[in-house]
Amino acid sequence: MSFVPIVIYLLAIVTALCLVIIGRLRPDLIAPLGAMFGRVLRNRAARVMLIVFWWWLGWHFLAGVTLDTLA
Amino acid sequence: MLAASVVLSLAPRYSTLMGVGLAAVGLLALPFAWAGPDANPTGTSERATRRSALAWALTVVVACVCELAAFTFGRIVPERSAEFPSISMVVDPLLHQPWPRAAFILGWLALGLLPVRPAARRSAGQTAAHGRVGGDVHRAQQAG
Repeated sequence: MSFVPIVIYLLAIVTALCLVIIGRLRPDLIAPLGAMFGRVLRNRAARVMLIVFWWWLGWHFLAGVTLDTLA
Repeated sequence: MLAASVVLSLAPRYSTLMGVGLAAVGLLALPFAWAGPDANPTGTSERATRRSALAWALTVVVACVCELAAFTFGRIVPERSAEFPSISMVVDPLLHQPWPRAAFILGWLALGLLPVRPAARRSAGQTAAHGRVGGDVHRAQQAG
């Protein structure tokens, strides 16, 4: 298994955590996640799209058999 | 949210109960997403919000491009797909274990609350206010 994609996924997680922390410490520099969502989610289409995407993530990982490894 | 996380954590993966539970959570969340959050919930500056949106979008796009590359690689060379795994392949072994799965479910539900929380809070406030008004009317009728 190549470590390149795993490193990229881990970097994305670490970046997300850093953005959360910076948003808490320096909201004047990077708006906190809740504030940014508050702005983005004023649009109903964006809200519905995000909630459908969020729901699909849950389905994909928990209920839908999407990998051949089970077969 | 706690009840949903307990039920989903106890349900076996890929089971009918898991499917029904997830469908119920989705059906419950959709009306709140439709109703929408408060008009202006924050006092942060426009520039900070734009920077935040750009940074989050870049992070998600990089992860998605990597996922797309893994998917494409898996389609072209299926027998070597494990060499360039997708996110699903990486987390799949973890999600077969109960505690990591419970943590994932809790995080997933908490993430879903972000878009629906303000509307849910407003809805709960209206219900409480309605209850108070109803109680006041009832007390007034009893007094009268």
